[in-house]
Amino acid sequence: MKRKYRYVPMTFLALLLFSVGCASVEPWEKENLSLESMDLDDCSTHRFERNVEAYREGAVGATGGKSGGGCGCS
Amino acid sequence: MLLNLSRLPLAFLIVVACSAPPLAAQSDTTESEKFDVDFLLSYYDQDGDHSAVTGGTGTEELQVFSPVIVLGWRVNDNWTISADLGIDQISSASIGNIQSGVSGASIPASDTRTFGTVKAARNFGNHIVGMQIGAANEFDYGSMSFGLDYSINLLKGNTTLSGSFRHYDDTVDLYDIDGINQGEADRTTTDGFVTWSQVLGRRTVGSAELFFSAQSGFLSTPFHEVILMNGDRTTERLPDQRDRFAIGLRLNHSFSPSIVQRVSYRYYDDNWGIAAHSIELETHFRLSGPREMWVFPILRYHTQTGADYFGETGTFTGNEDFLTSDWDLAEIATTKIGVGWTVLALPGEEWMLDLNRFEVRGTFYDRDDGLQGFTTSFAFGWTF
Repeated sequence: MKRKYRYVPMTFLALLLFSVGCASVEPWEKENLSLESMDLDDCSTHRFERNVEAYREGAVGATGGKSGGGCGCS
Repeated sequence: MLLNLSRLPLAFLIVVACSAPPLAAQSDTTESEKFDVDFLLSYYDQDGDHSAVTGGTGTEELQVFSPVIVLGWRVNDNWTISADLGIDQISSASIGNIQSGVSGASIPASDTRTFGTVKAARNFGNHIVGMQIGAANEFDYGSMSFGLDYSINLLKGNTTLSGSFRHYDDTVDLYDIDGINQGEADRTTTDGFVTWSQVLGRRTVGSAELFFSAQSGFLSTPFHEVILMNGDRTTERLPDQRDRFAIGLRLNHSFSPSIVQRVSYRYYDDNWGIAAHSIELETHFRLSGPREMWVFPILRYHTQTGADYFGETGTFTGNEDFLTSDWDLAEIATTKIGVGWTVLALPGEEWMLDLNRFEVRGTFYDRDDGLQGFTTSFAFGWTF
């Protein structure tokens, strides 16, 4: 693994441990979290744009869109 | 090319057979059965002056019309089956340029890409396990894919950890820079991604995603041209292996029930020399009225370093191992602005066409080398 990649798992683990200290929200307190716009996933109409970004840019991944396979793109 | 579909029906039957819900479970929980149908319609129009087909110069004019249907069947409390099927109808002026004056060239100026995926997921309390198969096909490309998914909810649903695996086996028809078919070659892609979603408070939720990808095989585009220093034309040559890594962070915060701020950031790196940063902002405003209706501006900025093998027209001698004039792999910055609108019908309401949800989104995309594109997408959703 490249040197710079070694920091990524450590960062991810640190963030995970940090989250243990985050407030625990009860189901009846999640009214604002249930709003349509609070959904972490992209909306349906964003899907096509993610594909355009993957085709027109050299970067893919970590956006829920197209990866490098399944198309004739670089 | 026609995709060899001989194995697809067998693979599809295996997925359905393995995921078929037990008949006893179906009869016990039919009241939770739900069927979603979503119809997506997208149109994309672009133009620029750096077509890779003509060596990094020339028109990049292209239009894509893409209808997609997405089906979701919640069979009972435990089983969900979903499928999507779509078409990209592509018209490209630059592809048509390959045929000019070359006898025997057989690349069409327009192309149709068809694609589809079938997924099945089983709920085991806090755990969900899923499997999928997919296929895609266009005139010079065929792809078969397989995937596995797993997720677990923890801490009263405040934390979700998920992992996914995808594998693609692709076949590329080798149409050269003169449009002559020179045979075919294979390409494989294996992706893995891990996502951690976390409720950070009553008004805040965030996620982090790690993405890894390994590609091998024929990774060049055979009809992409490179114009050398002496004016000769040659085909782009790229390495037969590519490793990619990305980390994505998302944060959504509700300032009030009527204002939601969405922020996302993605860092990308690969062994071809490309490193990229992308940031995207959306501020959602809820409009007054009985239905849940949101309107939001969209802003995205992306910047990347160029691949080690990229060079502008006339910069290569031809003795290099790898060379390309594809501006998708160049040092570029892009900006995207737009607006979106979503509407959700009230439960039980008979809204127009019995829709449960409607979305529309329009964006303008600008790349600093002169390429510009416009995308508009519509989504219509029904639940039965």
